[in-house]
Amino acid sequence: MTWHLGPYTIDGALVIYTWIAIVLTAVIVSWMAKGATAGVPGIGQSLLESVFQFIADLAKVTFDPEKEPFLYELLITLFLFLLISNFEGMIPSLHSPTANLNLTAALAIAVFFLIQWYGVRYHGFRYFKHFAKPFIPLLPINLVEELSKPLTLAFRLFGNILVGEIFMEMIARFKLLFYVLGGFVAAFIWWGFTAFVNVVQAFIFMVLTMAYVGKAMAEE
Amino acid sequence: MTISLSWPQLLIELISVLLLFSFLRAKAFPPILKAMRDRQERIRSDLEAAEARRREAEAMKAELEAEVKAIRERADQVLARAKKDAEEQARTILEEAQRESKRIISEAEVEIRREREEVLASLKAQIVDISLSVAEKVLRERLDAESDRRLVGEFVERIEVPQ
Repeated sequence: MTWHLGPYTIDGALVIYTWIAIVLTAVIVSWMAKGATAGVPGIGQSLLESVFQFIADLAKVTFDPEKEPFLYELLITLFLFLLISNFEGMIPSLHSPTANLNLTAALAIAVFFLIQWYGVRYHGFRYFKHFAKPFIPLLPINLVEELSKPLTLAFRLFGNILVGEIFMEMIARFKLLFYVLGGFVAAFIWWGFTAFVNVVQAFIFMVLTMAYVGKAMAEE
Repeated sequence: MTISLSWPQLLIELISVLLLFSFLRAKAFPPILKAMRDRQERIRSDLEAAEARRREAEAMKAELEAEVKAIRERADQVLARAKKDAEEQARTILEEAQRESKRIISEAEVEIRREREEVLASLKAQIVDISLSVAEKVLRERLDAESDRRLVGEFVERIEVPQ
């Protein structure tokens, strides 16, 4: 499905898959948070709270979630959205938007600017001096390192989810293997592994974002 | 599935995710964050209240213990004083009894002595009378009454009375 926007072409399917994940995330999270109580929480609230608490505990190593609510809530959004996006590919006839480099790259580029923004917010423009440390000849290496952050973020997520999808589809397509020769066993194993990878990749993207921003905050 | 990047596509993806973020931040997250914060606050205040109550109870216990101690001391004092009073009273009663008995004995002695003397006197008078009547009977007419009485009286005076 290709849309034309002036001279540009837009992959319409990706936009739809992205929005399916967005709507799913919004609906599920809203449902879990509905009627949240300070008393005994329901199962939805408990689950959501454990995600909040888990990310808050991780964040406490680098920054105070109470003082940086924007960053804290952004990390939670990233994790929940990526988790649901990754699992979207396991629903028959749907694909993960994260199996497309355009989404992962968009997020990674945004994270890249987020890192610079927090660096400047905490240290002023002196922050950029740290690229020339410990001495100036290392400047190119430091720059490459900095640019490799969004690059690896984008490709790691994209690659892992894409491979999961391709393998699932391959196993499902060999009908003879799948139905007669016990291929469904392999499919089950691969599904389990993919589900595991989906969780881990969403977590890694979120945690690396946290670590990069935290490092920029602490950079001297 | 494609690995070709296009800037408008990136922009659309980014804006989409940012829309999700704004929605969650505005609508879905606040109730959860508030619930968690409220619970934390409630647990903190509960703990503080429990601590305050514990401290209060400890203060009350110390107060009561001091009171019990004071009461026990006062009771001991009262008992000691009562014992002392009782002993004193017993001694006083004893002393009075002794005094009283001595007094009774000495009065009895005086009474006895007085009565004896009375008895003696009347005895002497009776002896004189009896002696006279006997003597009169025996020696009638030999002596006149006046001189006889004097004679016998002298005789009786010489009689020694054992004490």
